[in-house]
Amino acid sequence: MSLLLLLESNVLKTFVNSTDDSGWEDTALNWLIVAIVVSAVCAIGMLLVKWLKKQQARNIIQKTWSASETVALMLIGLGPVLLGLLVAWYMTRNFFNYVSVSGLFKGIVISWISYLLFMSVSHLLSPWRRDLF
Amino acid sequence: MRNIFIAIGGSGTRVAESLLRLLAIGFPINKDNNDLLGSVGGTLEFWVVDPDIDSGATSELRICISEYQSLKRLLGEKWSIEIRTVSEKEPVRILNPLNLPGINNQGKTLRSLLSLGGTQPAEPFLGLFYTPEELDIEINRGFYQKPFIGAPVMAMFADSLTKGRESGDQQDLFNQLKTQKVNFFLCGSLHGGTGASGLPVMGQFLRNARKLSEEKHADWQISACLLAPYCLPLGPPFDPLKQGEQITDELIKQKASWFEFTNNEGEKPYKEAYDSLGEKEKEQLIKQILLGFYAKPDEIVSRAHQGVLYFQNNVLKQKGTDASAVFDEVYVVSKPRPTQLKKWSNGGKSQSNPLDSAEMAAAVASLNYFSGSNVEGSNDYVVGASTKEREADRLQSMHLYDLPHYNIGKESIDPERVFLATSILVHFILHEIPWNVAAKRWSGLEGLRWMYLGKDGETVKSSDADIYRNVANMIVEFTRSVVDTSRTIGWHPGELAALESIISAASIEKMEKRGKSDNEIDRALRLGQSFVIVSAFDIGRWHPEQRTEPISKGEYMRWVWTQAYRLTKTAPL
Repeated sequence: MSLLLLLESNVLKTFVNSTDDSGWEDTALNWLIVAIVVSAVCAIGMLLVKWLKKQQARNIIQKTWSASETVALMLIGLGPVLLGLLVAWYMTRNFFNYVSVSGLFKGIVISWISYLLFMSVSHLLSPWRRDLF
Repeated sequence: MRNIFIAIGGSGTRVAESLLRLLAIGFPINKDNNDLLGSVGGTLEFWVVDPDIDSGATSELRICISEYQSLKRLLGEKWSIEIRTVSEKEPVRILNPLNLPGINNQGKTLRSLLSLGGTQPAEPFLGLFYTPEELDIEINRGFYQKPFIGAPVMAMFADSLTKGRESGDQQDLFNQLKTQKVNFFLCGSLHGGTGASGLPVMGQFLRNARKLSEEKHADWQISACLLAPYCLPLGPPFDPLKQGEQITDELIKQKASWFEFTNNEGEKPYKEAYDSLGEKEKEQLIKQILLGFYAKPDEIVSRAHQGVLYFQNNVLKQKGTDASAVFDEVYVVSKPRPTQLKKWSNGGKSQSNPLDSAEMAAAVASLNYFSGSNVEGSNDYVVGASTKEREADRLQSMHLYDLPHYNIGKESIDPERVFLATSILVHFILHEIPWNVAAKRWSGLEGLRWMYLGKDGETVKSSDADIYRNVANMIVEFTRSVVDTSRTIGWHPGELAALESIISAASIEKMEKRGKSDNEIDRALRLGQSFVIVSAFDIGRWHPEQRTEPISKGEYMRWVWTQAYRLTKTAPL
């Protein structure tokens, strides 16, 4: 348990400017949570976009998605993830003041990875599995 | 069931070719156990009775059979009927009436045939019935619209079919046919020489040949299609000899130089026909014209009239040796105003007229017959007009809805709707299936998709995609070959344009999923009086039931075609 706590505080340290101020761990943890939430919201949004496009497909060719089309949709979703995190970082005083630029980039990377994971698992567990795998 | 189309003369052969093209396009002959319209079981074969063994029409038929067989090889079972050929190299059974047992085949004339053929010499009596010119003209290019020349030849030929050592193969053939259920469909013109003489003789021969014993006869059905004038040939390039004039070498040279040096646009058809002949044939052609042995356009209607009267008084009232009527069904096809041909020929390779819309109507009549649909009535012959209110001028350029309907069981087959269903099927194959996407990713095509989910599914799919596209293009070509006005006569040019529009990518929009605000009428795909409202999603759902053994491409296409056909409707203009 203490090892986990140690690990966690080592990981969290990388997101903040300095660990001198009290409460830095909460800020870093919140930043991590925001990164994952933004990735989840964007994943849901992109899945909704895909669902709408498929519903509105007027013929078989429009309804049939190749792997590259699905991958392209996933890559397009990286943009909103980036934007979401930037807005969250800029608009929240604690994040702006205490999460470093390198922490911002690390957050973006973690958010992107979890977004891609959400998208892949959603496809795997749905009838859209055939579009990707 | 063995179906035998006996084409008598050039016109009959053109109808045979039209029939083959219609079968390739998808015209059905029967239904299978799943109520699928198609051509299940049975075979179709073509016999050509023609002294003109080099005729352009027979060559075209051979080429058409080869193209049809290519289509069938790609599609496998169920799309169209199997064609039974004589051998790999000869798809058509040629019955040359000049090929009589015991007679030299070179330089055939009526005099030589009637003097040497038969069981008793006829020489003393020939002059009572024929002029010297009629006796001595070579008849290996046909009978020149003179059925009285063809009739004795045909009679001797029919007699020889089941007699004599030389006709051993044909004897075996007829003996074999007697053990089978056979539908014979004889087709020829009333105004030509070969058709008018061959139809009644061959009909009577078949009726008599089917006898097995005093009480029993073979299970044969025999029908005839009589072609009254539907096209007019061009008149001769020059006038025949005047009374008392003789053929001299000088005269032949003079006429030859006319052919060689003519530059007139109006005389081009004659020059083309002349140039296609060898030296000896050129001289024969000039002699034939000088002696008056050519198709006379101003006599065609009266000759057809004589043909009809002969049929009515002598053939239809006649009985076979089993006291039944010679023909079980008789169809008559004609046009109120025959179409003027633009090419000229006096037989041989150059005799290859463009396909005529009337020939397609006759081909549809043969489909009616081969599908087992009899004209209702007792023993009387019913004369049916094709459709009501047909003006002579309008039939110069026919529409597909002018073609007669036929029945398969209780289901009426409308040729225009057949063309519409085929066009939709071809469009679907060419434009609505995402062949370039892996089959496992397909949506809305479950039936076709599952065929490609196996171990080498993608490889099979790629190969099938090429085959389906190839087949679709072949069917498009068959469609063009029967209604394209640059290659056929008697059709309205709008027919091909309408078909090509449905087949093209332009119809993708009309086959899209319908929204609530979409006007259904605007989305209809139309062809003449027929229309259909269908989306690509609807078609994607149509497929045969999944089973362990593979489904042939022909069966898949037939399934889709049958659903499409049954969805089409007619709304008279």
